[in-house]
Amino acid sequence: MMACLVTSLVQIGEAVITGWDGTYLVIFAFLATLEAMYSQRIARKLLFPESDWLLYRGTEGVVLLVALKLAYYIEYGPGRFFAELRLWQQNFWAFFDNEYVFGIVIVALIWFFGSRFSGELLALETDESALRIEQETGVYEQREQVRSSLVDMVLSIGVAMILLTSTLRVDAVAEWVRIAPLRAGVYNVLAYFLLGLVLLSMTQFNMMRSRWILEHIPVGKDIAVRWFFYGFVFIALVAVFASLLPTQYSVGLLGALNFAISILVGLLNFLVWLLMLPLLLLFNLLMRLLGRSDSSIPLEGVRQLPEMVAPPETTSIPWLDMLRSLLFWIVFLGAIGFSLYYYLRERDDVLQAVRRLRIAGWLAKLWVWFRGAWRGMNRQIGAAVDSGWQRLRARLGRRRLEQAWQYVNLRRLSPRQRVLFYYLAMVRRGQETGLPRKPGQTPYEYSQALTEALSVGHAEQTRQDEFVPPGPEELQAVSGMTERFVEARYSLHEVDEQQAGVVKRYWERIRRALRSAFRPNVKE
Amino acid sequence: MGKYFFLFLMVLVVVAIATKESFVLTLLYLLVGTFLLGRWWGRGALKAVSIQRNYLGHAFLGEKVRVSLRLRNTGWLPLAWLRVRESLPVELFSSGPYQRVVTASPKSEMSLEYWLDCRKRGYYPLGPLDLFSGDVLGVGGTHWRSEPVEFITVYPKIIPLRQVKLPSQAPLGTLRHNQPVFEDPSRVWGKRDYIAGDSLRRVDWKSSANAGRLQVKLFEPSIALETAIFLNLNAKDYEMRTRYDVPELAIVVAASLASWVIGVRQAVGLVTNGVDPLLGAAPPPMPPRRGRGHLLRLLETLARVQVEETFPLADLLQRESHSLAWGTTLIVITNRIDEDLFDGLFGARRAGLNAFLIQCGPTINFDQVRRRAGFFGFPVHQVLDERDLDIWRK
Repeated sequence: MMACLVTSLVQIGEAVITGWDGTYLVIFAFLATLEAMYSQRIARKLLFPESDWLLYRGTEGVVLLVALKLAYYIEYGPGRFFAELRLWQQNFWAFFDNEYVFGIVIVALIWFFGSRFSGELLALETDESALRIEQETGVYEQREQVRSSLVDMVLSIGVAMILLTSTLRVDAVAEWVRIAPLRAGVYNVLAYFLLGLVLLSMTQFNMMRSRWILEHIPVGKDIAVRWFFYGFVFIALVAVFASLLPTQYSVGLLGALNFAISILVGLLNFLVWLLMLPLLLLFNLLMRLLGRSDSSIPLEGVRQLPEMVAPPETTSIPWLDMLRSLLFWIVFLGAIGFSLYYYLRERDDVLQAVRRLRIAGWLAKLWVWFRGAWRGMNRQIGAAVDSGWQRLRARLGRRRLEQAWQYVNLRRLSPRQRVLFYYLAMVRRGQETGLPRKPGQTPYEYSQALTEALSVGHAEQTRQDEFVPPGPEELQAVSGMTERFVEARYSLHEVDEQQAGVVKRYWERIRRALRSAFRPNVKE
Repeated sequence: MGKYFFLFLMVLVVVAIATKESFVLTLLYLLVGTFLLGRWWGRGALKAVSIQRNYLGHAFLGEKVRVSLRLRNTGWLPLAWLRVRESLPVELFSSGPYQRVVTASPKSEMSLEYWLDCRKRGYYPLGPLDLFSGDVLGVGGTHWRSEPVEFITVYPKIIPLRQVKLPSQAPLGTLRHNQPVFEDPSRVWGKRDYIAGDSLRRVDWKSSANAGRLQVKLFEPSIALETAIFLNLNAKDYEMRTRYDVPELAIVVAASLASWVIGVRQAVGLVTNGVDPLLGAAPPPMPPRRGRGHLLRLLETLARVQVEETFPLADLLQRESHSLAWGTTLIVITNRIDEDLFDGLFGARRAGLNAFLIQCGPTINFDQVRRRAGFFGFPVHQVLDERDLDIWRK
């Protein structure tokens, strides 16, 4: 992480001094960090500001300065050393040239942060002897606070890196500061944060493990290995997710909103047109029948989706750019909303201050109203869809039954079943001709009603002298059919083929009678 | 996640809007994604954990019971860490709550176990079982879930008895007796010659035909030992310094006697004025019944029942003795024996019940009690500790 930070600083240096290569500083700073972490372990046994501590740190500083100079000459070659040696003899302060001073500043900064990090990490170590001492003395390390402080330090350094890098990449700012705009400096920042997440995972493990050891909780042997594996998977998943999300947009926020709304309106239009289509067709047919084809309503067919305005500098697939822009705005606004929400949740004082604003009250009321309306609409739509679905199912169920009725193979039925079939066919035919059997009617009551209706129909038809009236055999067939049905339905003795044959003949007579008694009287 | 994490996010948002740099947006997505994934992972992974306790719900004193916790991760999210904590009664598990930290892969199973040492009778809760888990970065916090409590019953100590001389006048049982009044016609033990005055129903016609003279059957006397144990667990009837030990001794005596009675295939019941923690009141009287099943139910009640300040045993005796059959033997186990109790026992005897007093624990007036009991004709036995039951073990 320190190397990533140094990389950003070195890149700034390279932008200020054209042609300068500060790679050696990155490597040196990395080594200096390791040294700082190691020396912190030793120095913590010494007390500040006692002489031992001062001596140790002083020596360390001098060694680092000399090592930095050596690194400088390793980079530039021994020739440079001999050349500058003569300069020092004339002016000692030439030893501290600009580049060296710049290097000292960077190394000092890195050394400082490295020591701080090391101090925090040492506090989070799960050394069993140290934990035992804590238990014996009753003085416990505040590991959660230490970790929180470590995270804050990581974030603070990260903010500084981001601010520095992102502002110096802006041409106008770079010009104002009189340096070349930074074109690199991105991957090290991303690497810094990824390593920061790794640090977060490791410190979390250390902290949890310390707690478990202090509470004497046995820990599974494979937990460390699994922890690091799952941590790696976690960070990899998040990194992939973050890299896939759009970071550029071709259409501005208003343009994207406009497009989204027009899509919704277009869909609504289409639905309305679909619902109105049967009525429109009927109307047009009526107009045509009335000979007024010019008054019919034109059917435009499927509505087109709203036209996409091709944004400038886009690819040849405008809908992809639009989609990407839409996705970008959704994700970006979502991230803003999420950040704001959790920020206010964490800062109660700020939240209270915001709530006291008048506009916040109005917005809250608006939100409550919108939420209520949305829920009500959802409920109503759900209820309408549900009832429609129920009706459709009922109708389909009935149709299936009716269809099943039509496909009965009489030869496969037993005589008893055939008798029942013919009787039910009579009832169905009666229903179709306007003589339904009422649910409370017994077979005999229905037989009487049907006979009477046939006689009456017969009387009406004979007045008009149009059809052959149903004779007494047809009327007797109704009562005979009913008798056989009751016998087949409710008795236990066998029904033979002869009886089924008789019932079939009854059915043919009844069918003729029903057809002739209730045919519509159509005059040409 | 640090105090300033969300403030940092706000700064990132501002920088992203101002500079329109892609990498700033990527960083923003990275951090927001980390937070969201962390919260979702921790919560979602814990929800998918199912846990089941397998153990024997009843145990006898001194047994060791194995409790197996079967953990299953039914989801696709792994658990980097899962802390299992089971609260256990100190009477059965002296090391405090049972705790382990484990890790679980997706769709995996594991088994954890521990042993309970049943050192004391009682009705003990196992649990609640708490599960804690979180994500690897600690951004989502620690999530917690609790599983409900289950129970284990530890029966009281049972001292095996061999011969307990309890008075009984219930005829036609299965225990041999020497009173000829209780002859059992189903138990023929011999024959003799007919004497004038013998009932013709006693004549054994087959033997008479063989012998050529009339022979009558001889029946063995027998009794039924229907027993009802009245156990006094009213705290007021026990001295303060022995309020823990003596009621426990009384329960051991009750359990041992009940076990013996069932062992000789007789019926035993239990009536007590202690408090059953499951009911919050005295358990309903258990009428005399035979069989091991009934014994186990009785032992379960004795396992749970506790000493509390309730009502006097004499009231219980007066209330419940009416429902007992004639000839039932009442075994009254108590520490304090007073006039009210004697009156109750006398009333019970007049109703045809036999009383047997067992005085548990030390008392200063036992001689007086013995004399008084002798006056009424109740046998009384003092049990100061378990060794005093040895007379019934010979």
